Amino acid sequence: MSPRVLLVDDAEDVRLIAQMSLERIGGWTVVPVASGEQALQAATDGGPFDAVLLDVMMPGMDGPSTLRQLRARGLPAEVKIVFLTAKAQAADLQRLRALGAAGVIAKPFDPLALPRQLAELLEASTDPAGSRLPAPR
Amino acid sequence: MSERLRRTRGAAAVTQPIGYRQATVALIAFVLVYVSWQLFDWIPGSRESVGDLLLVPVDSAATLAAWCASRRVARSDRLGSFWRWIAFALAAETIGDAVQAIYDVVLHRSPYPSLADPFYLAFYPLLLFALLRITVAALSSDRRAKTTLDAATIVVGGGAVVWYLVLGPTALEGGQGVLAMAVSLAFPIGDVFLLAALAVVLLRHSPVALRAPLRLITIAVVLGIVADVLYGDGQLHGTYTSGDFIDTLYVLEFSAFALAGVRQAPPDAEEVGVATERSQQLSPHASWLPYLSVAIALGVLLGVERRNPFFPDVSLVLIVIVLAVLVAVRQYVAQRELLRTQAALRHSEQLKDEFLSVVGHELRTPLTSIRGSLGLLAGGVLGELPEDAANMVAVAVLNTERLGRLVNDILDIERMAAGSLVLEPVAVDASELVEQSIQVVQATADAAGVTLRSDTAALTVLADADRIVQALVNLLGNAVKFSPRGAVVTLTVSPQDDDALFSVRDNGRGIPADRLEAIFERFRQVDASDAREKGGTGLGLPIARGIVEQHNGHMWAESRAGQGSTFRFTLPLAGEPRTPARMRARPLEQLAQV
Repeated sequence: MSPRVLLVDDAEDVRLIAQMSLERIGGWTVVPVASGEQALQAATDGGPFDAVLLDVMMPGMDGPSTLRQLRARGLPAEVKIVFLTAKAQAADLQRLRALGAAGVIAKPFDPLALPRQLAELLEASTDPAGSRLPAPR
Repeated sequence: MSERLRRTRGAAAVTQPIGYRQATVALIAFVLVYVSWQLFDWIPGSRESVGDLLLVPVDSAATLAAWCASRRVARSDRLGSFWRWIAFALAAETIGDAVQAIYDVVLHRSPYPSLADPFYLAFYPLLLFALLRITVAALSSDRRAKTTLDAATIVVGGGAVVWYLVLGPTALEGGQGVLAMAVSLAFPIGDVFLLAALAVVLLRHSPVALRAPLRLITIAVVLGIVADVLYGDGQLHGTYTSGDFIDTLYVLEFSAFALAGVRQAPPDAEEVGVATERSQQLSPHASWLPYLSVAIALGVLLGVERRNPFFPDVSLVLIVIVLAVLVAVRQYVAQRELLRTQAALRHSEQLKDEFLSVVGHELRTPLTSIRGSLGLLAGGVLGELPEDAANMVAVAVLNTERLGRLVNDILDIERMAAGSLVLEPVAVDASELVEQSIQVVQATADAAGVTLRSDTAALTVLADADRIVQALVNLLGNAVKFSPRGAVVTLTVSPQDDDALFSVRDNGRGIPADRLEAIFERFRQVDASDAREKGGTGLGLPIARGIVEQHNGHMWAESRAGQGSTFRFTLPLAGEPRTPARMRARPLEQLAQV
C-alpha cells in the first residue's frame, strides 16, 4: 500500500496539481481537503496518514492553527507536517518551522520536484528505522 | 506726483495689474517727494498740510492694491479672504488719515483723541483678522496648542518690552486725560497683538504665492509698529506734529502694503488645494523664534531696568517666570507631538510591510497554478507532447520561473526602500557563506560548463547569513551567466583592514568603465537584451548592493573590457563595535543612489 498524505489547500488548482504530482510521480495516495476544518475531520475519519501537506494562508482556520489543532487532537508525532506557502520571507519561514513543522515548501513549486522535496524533508526529520515513506529520488 | 501715482494705481483695477517694478519706482518717487517736501518746505507753511494730505493717496493706493490682489487670488478662498480683510484694514486707515487731514487742513485744529482715532484703531482688529484667516485652518490639538503658546510667548515678551518702554512710564506719569491715555495705550497694545499674529503667520509654511507679498507685509507691519510707538509717545508728550518724521514712516508702511498687493500673483491651480495642508506644517524656525522673543524681551528689560525707577525687580522676575513656564509647556507639547508622529510613522511602515507581504502572496498564488500545470505538461506526466508543443511549454515554464523571481526581487527592493527589510546579523564564518552560495549556484554552473572555485581566509563576519548568501548567489549567478563555456569563476574572501573583502571574478566580456556604477541601478543591465537572453530580473545587483550596505559594507565593480569583471564587497568582521545588533534598511533616498 502506498504512503498516504493529507493535502490541505483552499485553492482547487493547487490541490489538483499537487495531487497529480504526488500520485503520478511520487507514488503517494493523496487525500485532498479544502480547509483546516475538513483536515481535522479527515485526520479522524480518513486516517491513518503518513504526512500532512498544509497550506498556510487559508480562510477560517489557517495553517498554523490547523497544525496546533491536529496535534491537540492526537495526531501522532511521527506523522510529519510540511507547510506549503506563498509567503517567502525568511522570517515567515523561520516562524513556520518553529511551530514544529518538518519543513516548508515555497509556492510556486515545481510539480516535477515536489515529491522529491517532500520526501527529503520527511527523511531529514524522521528516524530512518521503521519508516515506510518513499525514499527520495 | 500723487496725481501720477493715482493714475498708475487706477490701472491696477483692470485685469492686467501694473508691474511690480513700475509700482516700486512710482512709490520711491513719491516717498522722495514727500520727504524732500518735509525737509525743504517747498511752499512755505505748507509742510503740515501737505504731510497730511499726501498720506491719503498712498493709503488709497495700498487699499486698491489689496483689493485687486483679493480679486486676482479669488479662486483660493483663504488668500482671497486674506486680501479682502487687508483691504478693509487699509480702507479704515485711509478714512482715518482723510479725517485727520480735514482737521489739519480745513479746520486747522488737532484734537487728541479725535474722530480719526476710531478709524486708526479699527485698522488693528481688521489686519489681525486677515492674518488669522491665513493661519488658522483645522489644526490638530497639538499644533493649536503650539500656536497658542507661541503667540502667548510673543505677546508676553513683546508686551513686557512695550510696557517697560512706553506704557509703564506713560501710565505712571499721568498728566493726560483718561481718554487720551486709553487711546494712546490702545495703539501699542494693538501693535503687540499684530506682532504676535505676524510671528505666528511667519512661523508656518504659507502658500507659495503669498511668500513674496508676505515679506513686504512684514516690513510694513514692523514699520507701522515703530511709527506707532513713536506716535503714541509724541502725542502724550505733545511733541507730535503732522508731517513729522513719524509720518514718513507711515508713508513707507503703506507703500510697503501697496507693493505687497501688487506683488501678489495668482496662486497655482495646485496650490489652491494643497495650501491648507502645507500651512499645517511649522517651519523649523518655529522652534527657536519664540525663544528669541524671550531673549530680546529680557535683554531690553535688563537694559531698561537700571535707569527705570518705576519697576521693582520683582516684576522682571515674574515676567521671566511666566516666559519660562510658557517655553517649558511648549517644549512638552512639541515632544508629545514628535512621539505621536513617530508612532504614526511606525504604524504606516508596518502597514506597508503587511501590504507587500499580501501582494507577494497574491502574485504567487496564480503563479503557483500556472507553474504547476505547465510543469506537469512539460514533464510529460499527462502524456508525451508533440515536439513543438513541448518547446512552447518549456518557454512558458522558463518565463513563469522568471516572473516568480521578478516578484521576489521587486518585493525585496520595495522592502529595502520602505526600510522594512530587517536583518538579524550574527557572527558567521565566511567559509560557510561561500559554501552555501556555491551550493546554490553549482547546478547552473555545471549546466553552463563553468567551473566554480573558492579561496576563503579564516574570517568571521557579522552577517545575516540568508541575505548575504542571496547577495553572493546574485553575483555568482551573474558571473556564470556572462562566462563562456569552460571558463572559471572565482570567489575569494580576504581580510582588508577591519573588514572581510569578498570578490567574485569572472573572465567574461567585461563591463565598460562608464557602466560600472549604472549596473547597480534598477533594470540597468549592461545590454538591454541581457534581461531577455540571460533571464535576469535587472534587480539582482541593486538588491545585492542594498543587502551589503545594510550590513554597513560597500559593493562595487571593477572591470577591463574583454578581460572579465570583478565584483567586490566588504562586510564588517565580527566583534566590531560599530555594528548595531539589529540593522534596518536605509531609507529610500540612499537606496535610490545605489
